[in-house]
Amino acid sequence: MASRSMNNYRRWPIHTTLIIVCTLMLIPFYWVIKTSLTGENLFSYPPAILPQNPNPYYFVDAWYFVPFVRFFANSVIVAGLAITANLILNALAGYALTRHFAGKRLVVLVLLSSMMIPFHATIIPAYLITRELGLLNTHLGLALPAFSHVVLIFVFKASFDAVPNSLIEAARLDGLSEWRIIYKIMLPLAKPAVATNIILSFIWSWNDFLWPLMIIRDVDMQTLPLGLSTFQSYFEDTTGSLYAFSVMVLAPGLLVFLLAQKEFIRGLTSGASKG
Amino acid sequence: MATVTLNSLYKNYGETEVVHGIDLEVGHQEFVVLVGPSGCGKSTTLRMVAGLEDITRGEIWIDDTCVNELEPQHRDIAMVFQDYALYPHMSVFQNMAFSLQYRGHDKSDIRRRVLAAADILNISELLERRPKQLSGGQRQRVAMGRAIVRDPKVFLFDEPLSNLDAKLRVSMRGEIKKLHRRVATTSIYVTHDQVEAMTLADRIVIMNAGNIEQIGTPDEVYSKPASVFVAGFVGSPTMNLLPAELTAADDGLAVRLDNDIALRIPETKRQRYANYVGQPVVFGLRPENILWSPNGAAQNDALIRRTAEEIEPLGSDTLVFFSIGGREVVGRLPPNSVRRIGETVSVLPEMDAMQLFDPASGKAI
Ligand SMILES: Nc1ncnc2c1ncn2[C@@H]1O[C@H](COP(=O)(O)OP(=O)(O)OP(=O)(O)O)[C@@H](O)[C@H]1O
Ligand SMILES: [Mg+2]
Repeated sequence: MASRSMNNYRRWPIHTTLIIVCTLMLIPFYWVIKTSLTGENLFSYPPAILPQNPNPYYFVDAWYFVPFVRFFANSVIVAGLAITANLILNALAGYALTRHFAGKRLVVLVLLSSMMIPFHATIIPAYLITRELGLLNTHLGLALPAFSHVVLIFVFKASFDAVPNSLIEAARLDGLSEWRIIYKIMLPLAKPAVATNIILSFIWSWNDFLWPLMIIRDVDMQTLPLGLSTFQSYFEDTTGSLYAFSVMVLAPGLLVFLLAQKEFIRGLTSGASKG
Repeated sequence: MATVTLNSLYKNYGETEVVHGIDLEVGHQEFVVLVGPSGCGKSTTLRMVAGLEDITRGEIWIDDTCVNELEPQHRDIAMVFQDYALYPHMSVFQNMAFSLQYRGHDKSDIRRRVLAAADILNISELLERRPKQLSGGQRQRVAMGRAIVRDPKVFLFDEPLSNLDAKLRVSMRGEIKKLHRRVATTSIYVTHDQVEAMTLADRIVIMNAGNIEQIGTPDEVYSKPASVFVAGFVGSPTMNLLPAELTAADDGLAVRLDNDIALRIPETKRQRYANYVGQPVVFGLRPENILWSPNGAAQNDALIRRTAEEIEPLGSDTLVFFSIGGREVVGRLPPNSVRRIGETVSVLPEMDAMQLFDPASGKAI
């Protein structure tokens, strides 16, 4: 016990710093939640630290005055497509990158350098391709550019690299095809990478604004971030409802993250150290 | 029936050839051990049999099927890996049952086989555990269990004991031997430990730099090494090897080791060596064929007297090191025969057990 309190004592500077940083980062969150419950004007002075007369009115307001369920369903469908595609495609690509094949270095080079091109730079060709495919204003069109994130391929590769080769050879002797090796051996041993893929492809899809803005025409096809931006046109005094809507947009993301965070953090740090 | 035949088997990695045309026949239910120093191509050879490495040239036959083009899973072999290669996310039972599931066995048959194998290997209590929760020796057993449930034609082992501590290795060695007696299956076993090879093998294949130096029973490779390499590899300590000259003595042949030592070659061997008179040879004699003879004195001109330079008491006997013609020689002498460094050692070489090698080719004469 003595040594433990010693440790705690020595760590107080870092703990204090972390607490301060956390507080600073959480303040906007708190503010959003507070405002969603009170509808208090952003510029009121002096600002109230604690919510005055909190009520769920603005949530009800947001729920009824925009087609929230519709937006939400669109977001879920698009995120679902993106997650599924990322899991399948990235796992296959990541597995391929752990094997030897001619031209592998070139492939890695192309993948890595494509990471340096921002999506905004290719958004016009992406738009034209999507149009040619007749996918404007569709869920598939929304999800397609996010079907595989190169970073997430490398998350799988790093995780698969850590699986001893003898395990794959044993599986091959046991009679498994390459597909089954990926499905039965690699994926179960790469749970953190799976979690990382799910969370990040979810968040990126969920928060995406620019791409839906470009290809969506109908209100019916809008996703939540688009809904958020068009919100202002519906209301006069929008503060409370806008904030309530923001909370409703954020909540599923937080939920997914909280559910998978343990594996997620291991996934991001795997390869950094063995063990 | 299950035999394995390798026909002038070659393996290249890019430009480098690492296996230079190996011929080997493994008989039905025979336990053959490939042994040799690190990097000599043992694993590569075994992995070609398993189908995990491509064959550059040559053929591998299992029974009367050429398996060169067969995928590993169709060769009806099971392999035990050095690191055991157990699936970490499955229980011991699942590990053992896994391959059977993909070979069309029904549930009850799988269960019966796994339980039987677990019983043989004494791991029945561990079936629900994960590999992480097992000791090294237990993992080793599971790895073997996974191989035997399949009831394959051939077992392949790649240094399965090298991750165990010395004591466990000896006991597992015994277990593998017992297992082979019980579940007699054609086996190829790779190790770099010659003691392991000697104790386990029906026949030993000694490899060096991608070639086979000798194939024989443990007894044969020990008592009749085919080359200097084999002589220097098998046994602990290994055979004493000394440069010498074959000379014609008054009534026969002798090997001259040093200015004062010329050892008479026994009658029975004269014929064989006759052609080498006057030529340099390598003289080989095992440490246990150097006999302690404190009272042998004058009546025997083969007596060697030297100063003990190093002593290693082993309990049952003592290794005594001395030099002949500047080369170190070791004799396995009775305990306490020599007590201190610097004492004089008198020994008699047991010439019936000697070997001669051609210094140029390294082959036995
Ligand atoms: N994938 C590879 N690429 C290039 N060379 C290789 C490869 N695998 C093995 N080698 C070379 O082939 C030779 C034989 O290797 P092998 O693994 O068969 O040796 P070994 O006899 O099993 O040795 P050890 O006792 O250390 O396991 C070595 O010189 C090694 O460097
Ligand atoms: Mg090896």
